[in-house]
Formats: sequence, structure tokens, C-alpha cells
Amino acid sequence: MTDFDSLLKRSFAEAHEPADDGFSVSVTDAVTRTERLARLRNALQTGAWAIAGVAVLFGVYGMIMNIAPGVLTSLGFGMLRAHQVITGPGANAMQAVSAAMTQILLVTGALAGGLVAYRATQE
Amino acid sequence: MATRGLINLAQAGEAALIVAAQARDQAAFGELVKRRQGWARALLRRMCSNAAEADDLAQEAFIKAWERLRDLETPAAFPGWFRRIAVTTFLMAKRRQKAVFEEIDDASPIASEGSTPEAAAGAKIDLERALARLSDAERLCVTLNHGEGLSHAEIVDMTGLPLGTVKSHVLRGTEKLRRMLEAA
Repeated sequence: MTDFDSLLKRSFAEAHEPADDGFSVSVTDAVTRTERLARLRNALQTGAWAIAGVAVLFGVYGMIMNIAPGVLTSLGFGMLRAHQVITGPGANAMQAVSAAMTQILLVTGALAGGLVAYRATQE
Repeated sequence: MATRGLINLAQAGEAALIVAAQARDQAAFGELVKRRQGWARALLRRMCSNAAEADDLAQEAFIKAWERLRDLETPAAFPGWFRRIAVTTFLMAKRRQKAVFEEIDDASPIASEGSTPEAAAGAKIDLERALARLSDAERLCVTLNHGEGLSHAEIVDMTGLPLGTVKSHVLRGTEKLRRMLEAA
């Protein structure tokens, strides 16, 4: 280290620091404003999530109300057909399964979708 | 005397203030700012050479520190952690101003000459005025190296500049300051 390097380090060490001429008050005020804005933003986000949730539920409810009668009718018809196949003359399990395949796939798909959605929320 | 909960702010140690501020105690953070503002503003004034801009950046750095204080693992690491925030804030401001840090305007090497003992003996630099005559990059590197005692590698880690560039800026900036002192 040269003499000049030492002088430079000493000059840095001895250089005056600015006095607190209201700087810390101004920072504290800015922090208070930041916190207030963050709280407002959180409240707005929560409100937006709530509105979005209600909208989704409403949409799902409307959709279910539209398709549910058809699905239930189809399900009932399919079950009836499967039951007839099982109880009818010369019935076997393969015929029963193929008759109820649409309903089995529907229920399996719904369960798998629900499982995926559940895992996604857990992760 | 300011007292809040179990902490007497005026008498609390810096570590206690930092722990309280991490628990979102704004008064504790205010006391921390009061104690550290001189150092932080001086650091940024040396890097900026413009007191008003430096104070704006110091305020921005303190607000960022408040927002990220939970990331600080130990109170003892606060000075280095805050210094990094201050330097990043400075670099981001300079990038917004399109300042160029990596280019070196003069490619000719400057030999590191030892200064004459006569020049150094008893001399004292008008540091802020001298630093103001360096380029942004030289001022940053010289301040971090000579003022904050960081090694070249630490400056590289903090600023993201290449090692050769940092070394050049430190050498060149120091040389310019030496010439200014000799000319004075």
C-alpha cells in the first residue's frame, strides 16, 4: 500500500457524515406511507379474490343447473340399461361394464380432476 | 425518551432494533434509520457526487431495506446487507440514466506509481470535491475499495462488473485522485 493509499483511506475514514436534517423523519414517513399502501393493496387483492370466487361459483352453479338434468337422466338411463344387462338372460360382467362405460368414465374423470385440483392447491 | 413495548429505543442496541424492525416495528426501524443515516448518506454522496440525488437514493435504499428486512439472517450482517442494497439502488438509478459502467474510455494502462512522501505527508484531500471529478464507475469502485474496505472480488460480487473492469476503475480513479492532490 502506497502513502497515497493510506492517505486516501484516512480521508475516507475522517470524512464527515451529514447531520440528520430531517432525513430520518422523511424516511419514517415514507415507510408509513408504504405500509399504508401495502395494507390497501392487500385489502383490494382480498376483495378481488372474493369477487372472482363468487363469479366462478355463480358460473359453475349456472352450468351445473343447465347440464345436471341431462347428465342425471343419462346416468339413470345408463344405470337402468346396465341393470337390465346384468339381470337379463345370458348376462355377463363384460356386457354390464360396457353398457355403463360412459358413466364409469364420467365418474373416473371427475374424481381424477378433483384429485389433481386438490394436489395443486396443496402444492 | 422514546419507549415502545419492552424496547427503550434510545438505549437499545442496533441488534435489538433490527430484530424489532423485522417484527414490523416502525418506531424501531425509525431509530435504526436515525443511527445509520449519516453513514448511508455519506456512502451514497460519495458514489453520486450529487447530494440531493444521493439523499433520494438513500431514502429509496432504506425503504427497500424495510421491505426486505425479514430476509436479513443475522443483525450483525446489517451493514454489509444494507451496503449491497445501497449499491444496487445506485446502479439501478444510473442504469435508468443510461450511464455506462463497463466501458473504459482510455485503454492505455496507468502504472500504479507510489506517491511522493512530500505530497502525502500531512495532506488531506477534499474528498467529496475530488471524487466529484471522477467518472461514475471510478467513483463507485474507489469508494467501495478505499472507503468501505471491500476487495476487488467483493466489489465484483456486489456490482456485477467484470474483475478487470473493477481493477481498472480502482487504479484509474486512485491515480486521478493522486494527481489532483499533487496539483493542489
